Order: sequence, then structure tokens, then C-alpha cells
Amino acid sequence: MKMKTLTNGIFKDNPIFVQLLGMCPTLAVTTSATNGFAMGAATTVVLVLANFVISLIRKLIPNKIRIPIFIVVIATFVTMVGLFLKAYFPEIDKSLGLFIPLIVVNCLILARAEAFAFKNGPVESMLDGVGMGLGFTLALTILGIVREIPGEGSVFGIKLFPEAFEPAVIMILPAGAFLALGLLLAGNNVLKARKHK
Amino acid sequence: MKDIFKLGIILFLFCVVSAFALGLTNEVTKDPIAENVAEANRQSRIAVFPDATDFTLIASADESVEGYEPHPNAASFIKENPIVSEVYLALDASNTPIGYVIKTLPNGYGGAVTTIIGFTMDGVITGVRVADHQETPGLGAKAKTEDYYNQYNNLMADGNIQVIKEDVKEGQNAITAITSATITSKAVTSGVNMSKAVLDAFK
Repeated sequence: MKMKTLTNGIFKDNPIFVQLLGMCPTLAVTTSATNGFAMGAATTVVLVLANFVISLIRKLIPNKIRIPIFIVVIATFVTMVGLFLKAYFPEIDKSLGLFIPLIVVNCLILARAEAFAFKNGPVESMLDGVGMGLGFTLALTILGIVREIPGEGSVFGIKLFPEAFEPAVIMILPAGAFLALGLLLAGNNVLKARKHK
Repeated sequence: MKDIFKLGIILFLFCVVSAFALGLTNEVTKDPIAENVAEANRQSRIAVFPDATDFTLIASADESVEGYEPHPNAASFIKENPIVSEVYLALDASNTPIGYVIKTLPNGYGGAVTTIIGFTMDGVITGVRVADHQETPGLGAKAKTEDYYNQYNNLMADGNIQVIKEDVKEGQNAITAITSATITSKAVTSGVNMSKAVLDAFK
């Protein structure tokens, strides 16, 4: 039961490839594999913490105003994490700082609060956060790799091709994000259709 | 009706708690953050002027900055050259002024491109760095590479550095534009070209 909570997020209910959640950061930051991975990691941390806290206070939250309360809790968390990183881990902040404000508006976190943490205990909610976070990170990293190889001719910043290679810049521009995501989703659907047969 | 008040008060209480938590966090982290920012700025000044050991602020476009002695020409210079936001005097180990480090905000393709430039009293560029920018990834964002920065080293700070599309020939006071990002290249160069005005006003 608990194992399933964890793995659901990675494959069966992958937040990007299956649930199509959190599209704004997904499309905006996956210009390279490193960026995708960093965004995924930062989101995972916030997701686990937010799920945990919301599940703890879920009995105090009236049903009718749960959404604004989720947003207040998540925004408070993200801002605190951001300030602490800036103050005590300036190196991490340098590479992740850009993504932290984006996490507030990531609907993945809100969706998991609503769909899972509000109805389940703190331990399960944290597991769900870890699973969904890993799935999100995996998907963003794959998307980053798929865009970085043609767009910059490199993976995780390591050059793959000789100088003469002319990168297809469109892949790291916004249009490329849609192309790459569309192709990946199509691929995922083909795999799924085969399994059903 | 009663329900609305009850819900409003609950929401209010949640906000009070989180505002309190944020205020506390801000109070704790405020000073370390200011120190980190000051240190990062210092590092970027050293990067563009490696020979200098200390820097003194002599002009700033931000009027809230206090605790420094503005140069007599500072106010009129900032007014005439709004893209320059900070001017530092670069000092060597014996506290002799050997040049300037300036921070400029020229307009690129996606807004201001924060450019930091160092140059000597004799008008030789010692280094250029690009800090914050919103240029296109893969195109204008390439201004943030060593290869691009190094093009400016040892050029003349005569306010007339050209941006050309071909390779730069020996003795030419010019840089080669980043492919498909001429606007960004020109923006950074216009920041670098402010060096002449700084030398004229402060030397």
C-alpha cells in the first residue's frame, strides 16, 4: 500500500507525462538538463514539506476555504525556504534562486495538497510528495535532455558534438518546449497503448 | 452571513500566523543576505579589475545608498548618463587610485542587461562581466561566457568600441557580435562605452 503511494507518482500517475500538472515551470525552465533537474529537486523539497504540513493541519481547515489556506501555507513555506537559502547557502541559491519563486505558482503542489494531503495522514502524504517529486524531477530532466541535445549540442553542460555542429536553437526557445513535450507525451501514449493490447 | 464571518476570521488567523513566521524569518535572514549580496558584488568587481585590492563607491544612482562620499560630479553625471548605476574607484594595495569599476544597465533584447566594467586611469578595459539579464537562452544569453568577456580585455576605453560581424583584426577597437544576438552584443558594448564618459567626468 505504502510502496504504491511512492511509485504511483513516478510512473503510473507521473505529474508531467500523465497528469499534465505544473506546465508553466515545465515549459519555461527545461532549457537544459541541469535546469530541469534543479527545478525538480527544489519542487520536491517544497512538495514534501507542504504535503506534510497540510496533512497535519487538515482537521483545522474548513472545507470551504481550503484552497486559499493551501496557497497561504505553500507561499509562506516557499518564501521561508527562499530566504534561508539566500542567507545561509548562497551557492545553492545561485543555481536554484531563480526557480524558487516559480514553485509558489506550481499547481502540482496545490493539486497534491487538494487531492492527497487533505485526505491522508502525514506519513503517507510525505511519501506521496516524495513520489510525485521524483516523477516530476525525472520528467523535467528527460525534457531538459531532449531539448538540450539538439538545442545546445550538449547534455548537463558537457559538449557532445564537434565545433562544426550548428545547434537548432528553436529547441531551447519556448516553441521547442511545446515540440519536445508533445513528442514525449505521444511516445508515452504509444507505450501505454501497447501495454493495454 | 454568519458563516462568512467565521470563515473570514479563520482565514485571517492563518494569515496572521504565516505573516508572523515570515516576519521572523526576514528578521533572522536580513543581515546575512545583505552581507552575501555585498560580498558577491565585491567578487564581481574583483573579476573585472583583478589588479585592484579595494573599491570605493563614488557615485550611485540609488539615492537610498548612504555611508559613502559622492564625487562632486556624481549627481550631474548620473543625471546625464542614466544607464550608469554605480561608479567605484579602484585602489591598489597602497590606496592609490588605479582605475574605475562601473555598473551599467543598458537595454538588451529582453530588458536591462546588468554589465560590470573595469578600466584603468589610462583608459584600458581590464574586464567585463554580465550579471542579471533576460536575454534569449542560446542566443543573447551567450554574452555570459568567458569567450565573450575576453574580447573586451585590453580594448581602448575611448567610448567608441565597435560591434562588427566579422572577426576582429589586429589593432581594431572592436568586438565580434554573438551570432544572431547583435542587439545583446551592442547593449553590452554600449555599457562598456560609458567608460569614456566616466573618465571624462571623474578623472
